[in-house]
Amino acid sequence: MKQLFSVAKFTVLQNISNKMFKGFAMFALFIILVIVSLKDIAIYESNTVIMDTGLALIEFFVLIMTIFISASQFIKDKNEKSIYLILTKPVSRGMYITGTIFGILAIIALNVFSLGMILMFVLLWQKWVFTKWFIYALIFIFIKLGILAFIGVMFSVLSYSIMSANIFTISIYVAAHGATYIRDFATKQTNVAVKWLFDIMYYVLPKYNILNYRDILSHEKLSYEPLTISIYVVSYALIILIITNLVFYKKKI
Amino acid sequence: MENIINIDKLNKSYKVADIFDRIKGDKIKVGVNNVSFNVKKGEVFSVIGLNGAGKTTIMKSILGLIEPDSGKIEVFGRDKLKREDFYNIGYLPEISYYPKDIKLKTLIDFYGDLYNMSRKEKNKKIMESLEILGISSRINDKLEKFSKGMVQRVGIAQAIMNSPKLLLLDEPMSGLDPKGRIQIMELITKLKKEGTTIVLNTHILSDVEKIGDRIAIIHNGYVKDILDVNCDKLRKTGNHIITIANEYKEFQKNGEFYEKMVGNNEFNKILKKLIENNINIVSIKEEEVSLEKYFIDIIENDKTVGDK
Repeated sequence: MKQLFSVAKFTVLQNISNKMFKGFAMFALFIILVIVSLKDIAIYESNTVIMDTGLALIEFFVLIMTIFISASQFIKDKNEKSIYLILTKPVSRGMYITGTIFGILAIIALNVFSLGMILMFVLLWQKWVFTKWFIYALIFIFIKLGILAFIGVMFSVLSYSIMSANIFTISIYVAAHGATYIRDFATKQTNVAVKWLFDIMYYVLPKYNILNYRDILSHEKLSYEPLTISIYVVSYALIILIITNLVFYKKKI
Repeated sequence: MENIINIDKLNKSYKVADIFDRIKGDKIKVGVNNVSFNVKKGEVFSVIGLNGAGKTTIMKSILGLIEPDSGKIEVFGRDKLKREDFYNIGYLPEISYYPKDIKLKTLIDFYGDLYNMSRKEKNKKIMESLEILGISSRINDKLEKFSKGMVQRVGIAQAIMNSPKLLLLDEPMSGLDPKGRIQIMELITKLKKEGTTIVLNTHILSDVEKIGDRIAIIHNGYVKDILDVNCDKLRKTGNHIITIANEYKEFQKNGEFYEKMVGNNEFNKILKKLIENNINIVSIKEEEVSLEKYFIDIIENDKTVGDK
């Protein structure tokens, strides 16, 4: 287990010291501050506007970072041969993949919660009344992007180029937001094969509708029980992790 | 002596990725073909060959990084290396890039953690290996400040930090200056004395002659010869160079004397004639062949179909 956490720790250190990563985080912070400075645009409920826009931007920036890191980490390690230096130590392929994903999850958490805290302090400074649903919103952004990190790493193991891994990961993110529409579309189909195809797509895609933080903030309640959401998220992530490991054990490196 | 590595009829080919090669009909590229050899405990076994000869494929197969098409590889007496076996293996890949904007300490610390060492042991091993390679003073420097030779030393440091029983070095002299090369040769000699078995992939033949015990010559994926560094094949050709003081028949002038290279079959006859004619013989030397000459002869006379 020590090796697994060492891989995770190194993934974090490697990416945090990446100049591009630093620039990105700085840019996200800058944008949040710009929004705050433009709060006067909203005549009523300026804090709600700041919070909604701020959270949307946090999700957007960390989303790009998640796709960039998760879909490229394995291919980069493989192309740069640094993977050989890890797999010729007492580290199994499973440990390497799981450690890498844990590292990416830590990076996502670090970014979502640090940017979220900055946004929260700005809101408090604007006399905003703290609500626990704000923290839930951050947690749900983290979970959504966390699932995407599992998918991104899976595609980076399946693909041979960073470009294709990125495209597949982005496609899943976009399609997952429309999962309910896919199901509706499937029910309207008369052709059995097409219906099956869309049904399969619906079941395979992550259910981002249950993780929608905007619903949580506006209704101030969770759409499902926390336990149900946790079981779904953990099971989905576990299935992706198992598939990734099975592919990686057979993969030529 | 116990064998640490046994390779028997190893075959590995790759699918050609280049679209132009595929159009030409080349779908398969041979990595290695019917390769067999063993590496004895405590020896320095060198695998020499031109670029693309199949040296790295052999090393990756030994480490289980690639699956052979056929053949058998035994390391430490086992068909397939277990995770625990890697506590006793050190490996330097031919090329590897390290994240440039992290410190040497962070990088080497990470490799130490992968060996599950205690903090105290890890720090001791890290300092030992960095000191041997002369880079301990750079421990807090970022890798972006390192030259190619320094990066190569980092690679060697991570390969030896676990005091491995089996050390696999793929082109360890690459990027090193003459001082660095001497340091690495001294290190290999030291590790050998301590009982480490070393497999060395290289094309710097002069180094192999100095530090190697046995050599496998690889060409186009085939093992062309396996020989002892001190074997007669390398040292003696059977030819003699006879130097005489005065001009005589086919002897060529060389400086103040006259010389002739004489084959083994005519040596006695010519020597007898020189004595009969009272020719003053200055010296008789047996011709020695360098590993380089031997290697080039093998490659130039190779009739193997160049399917690589």
